[in-house]
This record gives sequence, structure tokens and C-alpha cells, in this order.
Amino acid sequence: MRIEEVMRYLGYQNNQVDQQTMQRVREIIQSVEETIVPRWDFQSFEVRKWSKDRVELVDLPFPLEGESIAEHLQSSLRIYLMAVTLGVESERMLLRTQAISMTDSLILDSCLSAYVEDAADQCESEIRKLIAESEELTFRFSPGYGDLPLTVHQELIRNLKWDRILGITTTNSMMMVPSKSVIAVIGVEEMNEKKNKTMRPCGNQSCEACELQDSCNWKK
Amino acid sequence: MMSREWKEQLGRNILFFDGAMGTMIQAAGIAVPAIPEELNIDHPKVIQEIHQKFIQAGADFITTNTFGANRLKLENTRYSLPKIIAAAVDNAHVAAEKEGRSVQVVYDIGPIGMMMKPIGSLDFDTAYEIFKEQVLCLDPERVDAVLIETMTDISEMRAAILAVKENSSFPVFATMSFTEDERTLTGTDPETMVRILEGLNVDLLGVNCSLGPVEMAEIVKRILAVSNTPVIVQANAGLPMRIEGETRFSLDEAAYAAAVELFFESGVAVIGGCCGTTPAYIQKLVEKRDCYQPSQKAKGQSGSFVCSSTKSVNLDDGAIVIGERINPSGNKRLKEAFLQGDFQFATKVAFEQIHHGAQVLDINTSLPQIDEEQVMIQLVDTFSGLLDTPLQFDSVKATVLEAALRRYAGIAIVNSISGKQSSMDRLFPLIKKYGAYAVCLCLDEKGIPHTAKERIVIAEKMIANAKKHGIPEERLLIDTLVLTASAQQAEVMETLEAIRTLKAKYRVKTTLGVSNVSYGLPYRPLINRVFFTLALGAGLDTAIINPGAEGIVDIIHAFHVLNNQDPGAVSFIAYNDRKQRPESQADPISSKQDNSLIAKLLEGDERQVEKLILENLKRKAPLAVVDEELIPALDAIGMQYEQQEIFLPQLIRAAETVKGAFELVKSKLAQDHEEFEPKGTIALATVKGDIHDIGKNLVKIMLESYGYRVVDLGKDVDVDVILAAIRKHQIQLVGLSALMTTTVAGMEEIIQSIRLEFHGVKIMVGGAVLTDDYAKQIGADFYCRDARASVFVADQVLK
Ligand code: B12
Repeated sequence: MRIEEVMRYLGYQNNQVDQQTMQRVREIIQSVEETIVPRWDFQSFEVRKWSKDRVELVDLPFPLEGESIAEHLQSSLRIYLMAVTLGVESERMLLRTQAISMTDSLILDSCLSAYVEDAADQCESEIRKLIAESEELTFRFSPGYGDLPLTVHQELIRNLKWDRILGITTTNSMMMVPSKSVIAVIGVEEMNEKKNKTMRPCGNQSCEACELQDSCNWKK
Repeated sequence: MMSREWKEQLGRNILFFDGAMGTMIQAAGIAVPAIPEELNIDHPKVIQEIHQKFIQAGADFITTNTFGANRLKLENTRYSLPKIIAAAVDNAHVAAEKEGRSVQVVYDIGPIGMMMKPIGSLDFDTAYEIFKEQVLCLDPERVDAVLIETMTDISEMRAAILAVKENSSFPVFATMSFTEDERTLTGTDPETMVRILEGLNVDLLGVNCSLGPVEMAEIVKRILAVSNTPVIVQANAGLPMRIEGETRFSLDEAAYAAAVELFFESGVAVIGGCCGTTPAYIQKLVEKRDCYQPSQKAKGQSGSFVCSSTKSVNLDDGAIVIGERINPSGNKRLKEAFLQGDFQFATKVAFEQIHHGAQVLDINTSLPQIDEEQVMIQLVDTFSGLLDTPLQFDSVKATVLEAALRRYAGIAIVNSISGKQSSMDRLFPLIKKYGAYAVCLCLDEKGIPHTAKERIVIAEKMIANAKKHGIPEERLLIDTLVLTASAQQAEVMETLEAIRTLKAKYRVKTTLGVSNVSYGLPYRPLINRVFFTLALGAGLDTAIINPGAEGIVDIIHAFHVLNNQDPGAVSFIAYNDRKQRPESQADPISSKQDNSLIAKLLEGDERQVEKLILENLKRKAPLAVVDEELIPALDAIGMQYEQQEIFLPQLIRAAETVKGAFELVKSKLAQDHEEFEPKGTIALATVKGDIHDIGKNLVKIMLESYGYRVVDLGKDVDVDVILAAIRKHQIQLVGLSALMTTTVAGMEEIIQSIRLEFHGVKIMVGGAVLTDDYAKQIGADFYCRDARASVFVADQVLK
């Protein structure tokens, strides 16, 4: 995992990191990489029916609802659904560290967040290998972005057996446990459809669509 | 096979389960609903035909289509739980009748789909109730056994087993899923699984799903090596491959059967299939039935293992240190934490003891002012799945012990049972039921006898009594009791004599509360060390002791060398080398020798800060040290943060170090018989529907460093929990955090609920989705842009 990414989660913007913190971050990154094996899974689906506020998929007994996901997939005939998790051990590490040192637990939390994003990137690059040269992937769109409801978490976990394969579960408020987990929808588009999409470091396509606006510490 | 006849067949012939229901449903050519259990009612024929095909293939056991038939997963169906379950059982029977062959109908239970505490939100009792509901739907005449399968969490598995056993008399088959690293997704290894499942007396145990027979081979081998219970294996048809959007498996029938042959040979009693295995697969297996007799597999490995959910500790590898520090009597800080319902401090004490070498932890929660059972339950929940170290439950109340044993996902030790008839009658049945170990005190109605002989008489009575309850003597840790040498000097050696005799005659383990010996004497540690050494020599297996006490762990390492338990003295040398190494020196780069409090706080240099504070305490009143030294230093550091001269980790490190300094001031005040009054209590929560808690955690540490007490309610928190906390702690200020737009509405509802019930409670909110305007709109009193802002709000509200 990239140390710069961790530093960003910790709120550093440039390179004014003190030696002590730097050292600790390195140690914690190392222990995360030694202890935790990220797991992921993905599956492709054909789009059966697209409309402005829902996308139906072949072989999936429920639609993806919302205007934002429909817009996201407007040029896709095929999509990938993916899930990534750092597993229960990441939660244990956090709980343990919280009891011992808040500073460490803050650093650890940032490392784990960076690590799960890393794993999502790796998963995405596996998917990228499977598409044709004339094709391109959209960015990763997650339940909770725009108006794509979080209930999608549970539906996907059950249907794609991510509970069995990855050990991801949901709480009754549809948050994923282990919390260091990510579920995302990626569309496959023809290359020429590709507009000028610059990806934001948070994973969003642009800041316009995001609610956070000025309160975002990623926006610059 | 006639009903229940399988029990006689077991071990004589290899028996067969069916294969994958899900795979067959997908291949049936109907639209698969989101809840496959609905098919039991909507398409009974389809399900019946699947069962029929497996019966034709030769399966002895068929599994009902009820994997997800629990309250939670059936939330959105048109049918009731009893209806779905009855239909599923009917379908199995109809299939058996149509085929005209008597098979065993096995009711299938899968995971609930939520994670258990402390990592998830599912409570043990809730899990138990969910499973119980299913069991109560079953007709004893129509179901032959219950299979609990594909479990990845041993704690959930235990809840299911208890639900079946306590509400029916069905035989229980229990299988868990493992990953390639030979652990379940929640970290249980095969041996520990076997021990915990055997502790609950299941009828078959084993492994299913997730892996193919090849990848499973090593796991099956490990299970067979330790299991005394017949083993069942249901592997996937190899590894899944996703081809053109379809899931296929890597092994065909022949390859699968070839791979599974290994299991036939090695002593597996019951074999079936999991994902991807069709009737053709099962048939290929059944064809081999007559080629194999289940090999008379050797009895499982011996040993006396206590377990957490992720680790087994063999008491035969003595001497085992049982850490005694989680006990509120004699630990003021822990007492305070228990009173406040704070379990983080206990976790800290636990880790300290583990760090010092404890292999088992004793937990005692007896305090007159608290609900002991409740605190015990919460501690068990907090520690489960968090600590690798197995636990020993310490209480004089049987109800407390039972509550702990019931939900502990492991094999625990109970501390303690005495030779009084009433104690044995009450506690031995619990030991048996939960497969636990017991500390047996050599005292009875007449008290503690003086001589070794008399103590042995009591021990023997207890051994015999345990046997009557079906508890083998290996499960007993006899405590021959040591009294203080200051009063009963003549009896100290009797204690050791009793250990020697018991170890020579029986397979029991022994234990002692070592430090009792020096009570009332000066130079206690020295007496303790010598007594401990003598006791080890006498054959002591476990010691309930403070592992941090000087020399204790040293003695064990040395003893292991002398007792021929540490070949080549390898771990003795490594241990002492580690001890000799000097504490790592401070970072040379930053050693610009600034010895101010601010500098030391920023470095998190606890020792220097301690020194500075102690010096100050000589000159100033404790509270003045806080107001004139600590708080101004923090303020200055806060300013540096605002100016972006330092960043979050440093701010937090400084804040955390200040918290440590507070402890010093507190103890100084306690010496002067004064109480350190926290400035006020604040409840914090990341609201329901959100798990982003980094921000909230920062707020917590900042507030604590300024002397506020924080009740941290965690993340994804229900409004009821918040209201209860306000009530319990008489909270005046609540902080809510949310980072997702989806949770802002929920935040507003929480604020309304608080307003409805409490007058004058102030609410501050924060998190990246919120703005000043937004906060006003939802009715909050304060909006905080960052963690430091919360301190200003608190200063204002709690003045
Ligand atoms: C880190 C992170 C994660 C981590 C979580 C780590 C953790 N333990 O919190 C991980 C990777 C696990 C994660 C997962 C998800 N995330 Co996320 N995540 C973020 C990210 C990048 C940063 C948040 C953060 O920690 N910031 C740093 C802290 C220090 O800042 P802060 O929380 O704002 O707190 C400061 C102040 O606000 C204030 N404060 C905060 N609370 C309070 C409270 C009080 C009382 C006070 C006084 C002050 C105060 O003080 C703090 C310190 O100064 C944000 C993007 C962003 N720019 O914010 C997305 C973001 C919040 N995530 C988002 C989503 C959707 C998710 C997922 C649901 C996606 C998915 N479907 O997979 C999952 C959920 C996983 C699950 N378990 O269900 C979305 C939310 C969208 C929305 N609708 O608003 C965001 C905005 C990203 C986006 N691209 O849109 N995420």
C-alpha cells in the first residue's frame, strides 16, 4: 500500500510529516500487510433493461435502482459487480489497538482504509484483464453513492454468496461487517464512448456530483 | 435404512449425504427467486424431483431446502416461517415415498447472515432465538436429524447447536467452512473447532463448502487426527470458475470421486457434496461404497485443551500461567471502569497480562454495586473473537458462571467448585453441558482441612462425583489450597504434598492461587517466587497469578529447561535475550533536546511527561497542575494544529499522552483523599446507518484529553442506545457523527427523540456531510467543523 495514501487519510497534505509518525506508519503498514489477506470476488452480468431510474440485469432477481446508477451505466451493456473485504482480522486488529493506543488505532484505521481501496484497485485490474481492447471500464460506483440504496449490499451479498465466499455480512442498517469492505458496480463501455473522465482520488468521477463539497478533505 | 438405523450403520459402512440443492435449483430451468426457500411452496415439484434424484443416486440422508429459512432472511417473503419449513420437510418425504426407499430427512440450517458481537451487531441470545424458532417448527416424527452447515463463526454455530439441543432431541450434525489457509473466515482452526463442537456433544462434525476435496484434504486430516466424534465431509465440486457469467466447478464427477477417495481411506464416516455436486457426483461416490470399510480410525489425540475461538492451549504443557488481574477487588481503576460500563480498560489489562506471558485469563466481575451477570456477559462478548487467550470464569454465583459458559465461544475453565455437595450438584452439570474444565477446591462443608491426606479425601470425592456426571478427571483442576505462611506456616508443605500425591495417582490437573502464601508477610514477591518454584517441582500444572509480578515468567522458562520441556533451552535463551535488550533509543533525528512539556507531549514520551508532572506535583496542587500546565500545553498544541504546523497524528498523540498524565494527577488526588471530578460526561456516537468512525474517535480523544469523560457508544448506533446512555449517565451533551447523506435524516430523528424525552440536553453534530446550515436545519445546537471545536462546545455547555 502506498504510504502517501495513508498520509492523506491522516490529513497530511504535503510532506510535513514528523519522523516519529512516519516511522509508526511504516511499522503499522508492515503489520497490516503481514497479517491481513484481502479477499475479493466479482461477477459479470448482462444488462437486460435500462431505464432512467433503474437497471435490470440478466440472472439477477432484483434491479439496481436509482437515477445515479442508471446514469452511471447508461453506456454499458455489460457490468461487473465486485466486493472486497479485509475480513474479520482487520476488525480484531482495530478493536485491540483501540484498547491500547488511540494514536496507533487512528493510524491503523487509515492504513486499513487505504489497504481496502488498494485491494479494490487490484480487483478492478483483474476485471480489466477480462475485457476486450475496444472496451473500457467506468469508475467504481458503490451503494450509498447518489441514490443507489444501501439495501443493494444485502441483496448482492446473498445472491452472489459473498457471505460464504468472503464472509461479508450486513447489519440491519445495511452497513457491511467487516466494516473494511467495499462493494461496487463497474460498467463496461465501448472505448469511443469514453468521455473525458478524470477520476477523483475518492473514487468519484467529479466533485460536482458529490454532496460533500467544501467539507471534503480530498477536494483541492 | 430404517429411521435412526443410521446410528448403527455409522462406523460400519460409509454413509452418504446428498449434494448441492442450490446448484440443482439453478439448473432446473425456472427463474430463481431471491429467496430460494419460497420454491418449497411455489414449485414443490421442482424441489421434490431434486430430492428424488439424490435418492436415486444412493444418498442415505437428504437435506431439506431450508438453508436460509430464518426470520431475517425470510423477512420479505409472502409465507410464514412455519409454512415454509413444513413444506420443505414435506417435499423431502414426498420424494422418499415416491422413490420407495427409506432415507433420513435432515433439516438444514445455514448461517443467519449477520456477524456476531463484538465485531458485528448480532447478540448471542438473538441468534439463539432465531435458530430456536426454526427448531420449534420441526415435527419430531418427520425429521431425523438437524444439519447445521456452512458456518464460519464458531460462536454462531454454538448458538445453533444449543438451540437444537435445548428444544428437541434431534441428533445434531455440525459442519463449518474453511478457507485455503485452514481457518474459518473468523479464524477458527480445525482442532479448536473439533474441541468446541465435542464440548457440546454433537453427533457428527466436519467440514463443508468453500473448497474442493483437494484443497480440503489437509483440513480433513487435521480434524480426523483429533476428533473422537464421527466425521462428515461435504466438499464443493472443486474450485469455482466463472465462465461467461456462469459459475462452474473445476472437477467433474470422476475427478471428484477420485479426490474424495482419500477421505474414504482415512476414516471419514459420512460423505456428501456441496456447491456444484449433482446427483451424478453422489452416485459416483456411492458406487465405491462397498470398496471401503470405514477404517477403524484411531481415537482422537489426547491432551487437555482449553480454547478460545481461535486457539487451543494444552494444559499438559504446564506450567500454565492463568492471569489473575481482571478482578475489581484490589484494582481501583478496573472497579471504576466496571461501574461506568467501560470495558476497554479490562481489554488493556488483558493485553498487558498476555504480553507478560499469561496463557489463560481469569475473569472476575464481583462488585456489590453492579449486576455481575450483566458485566460478565459484556466482558465475554468484548473478549470473544478479540483475544486469542482462553478464559477462566471466576465467580461464587452459579448463574454468573452459567451465563458466561453459555455464550463463550470456546472451552473455558470454571473457578470454582468446592467439595460441598450443593456446589457439586449445581455446577458439575454445567461443566458437562458446556464441555468446560473446573477448578475444584479441596474444601467442603467443614472448611479447609489441615493435612494433605484430608484434602486428598475431598479431591477424591470430587473426582468420583464428577465421573457420575460424565466428566472425566482430566477436566478437573484440583486446587489443593495454600494458606498464608504468616498464619498457617505448618500447612504450606501439606499443600505441596497433596499435589504430589494427586499427580501420582490421577490424571487430574492441579492449580493454585500462588500469592496467597505470602499474605501478611513482608517481602511478599520473594516468598511467592520460592513457593511457586517449589510448587512447580511438586507437579503444579497451572497457577493463578499475576504474570507481571517480578520473576514469575522467568521461573517458568527456567523450569521448562530443567523439566526437559524446552529442548536445547531454545525458548529460555530467546526469552532472556529479549529481556536483556535495552529499550529502543529515542529517534536520533528528532533528538534536538527540547525538554518542554509541549515537546514531550508531541513526542508522546510518556516517561518524560511523567517526570515533568511529578516535579510539578511537588510544587503545585494537583488541580493547578492540570489548569496551569497540562491544559495550556494542549491549547498551544491545538494552535499549532490550526496553523497546520502539526497534523492529526501528533495532535492525537499529544492528547493521548495528556490522558496518561491525568492518571498521575488522579492518583495524587486519591492519596490526598480527594476525588478527581471529570469536568463532565459526554456521549458520542456514529449514528445508525454509518460506520465511518475515524472522525468520532478523534473527537473522543480530544475531549478526554481536556478532562471530560466520554461514553463512547460506537458506530452504527441505534437511537435507543443513545437514549439509554443519556438516562444512565445523566448526560448533558451528546455528540453525533455522520459521513453519509443517507444518515442525515436518521440524525434528525435521533435529535427529535432526544428532545422529546430530555430537556436541556445539548447536541453537537459533525462529519463531512454536515454544514452549519444543515446542522441548524436538523435541530442540532452546535455544528463542529473538527474535533477541536468539540472542546470549545463542551467548555461552553458543561461549564
Ligand atoms: C475512510 C472512508 C471509508 C473507510 C471507513 C473507515 C472508518 N473506520 O471510518 C472505508 C474504506 C471502510 C469506507 C467504506 C465505505 N464508504 Co466511505 N469514505 C471514507 C472517506 C474516504 C474518508 C472519511 C474519513 O475518515 N475522513 C477523515 C475524518 C477524520 O474526517 P471526518 O470523519 O469528517 O471527521 C472530522 C470532522 O468532520 C469532525 N467530526 C466528525 N464527526 C464528528 C462528530 C462530532 C460530535 C464532532 C464534534 C465533530 C465531528 O471531526 C473530525 C476530525 O476533525 C470518505 C470520503 C470523504 N471525503 O469524507 C468516504 C465516504 C464517506 N464513504 C462513502 C461510502 C458510500 C462508503 C461505502 C458505503 C461504500 C460501499 N458501498 O462500499 C462503504 C461502507 C462500508 C461498510 N462497512 O458498509 C461515501 C458516502 C456517500 C454519501 N452518501 O454521503 C463517501 C463520502 C465517499 C464518496 N465517494 O462519496 N469508507
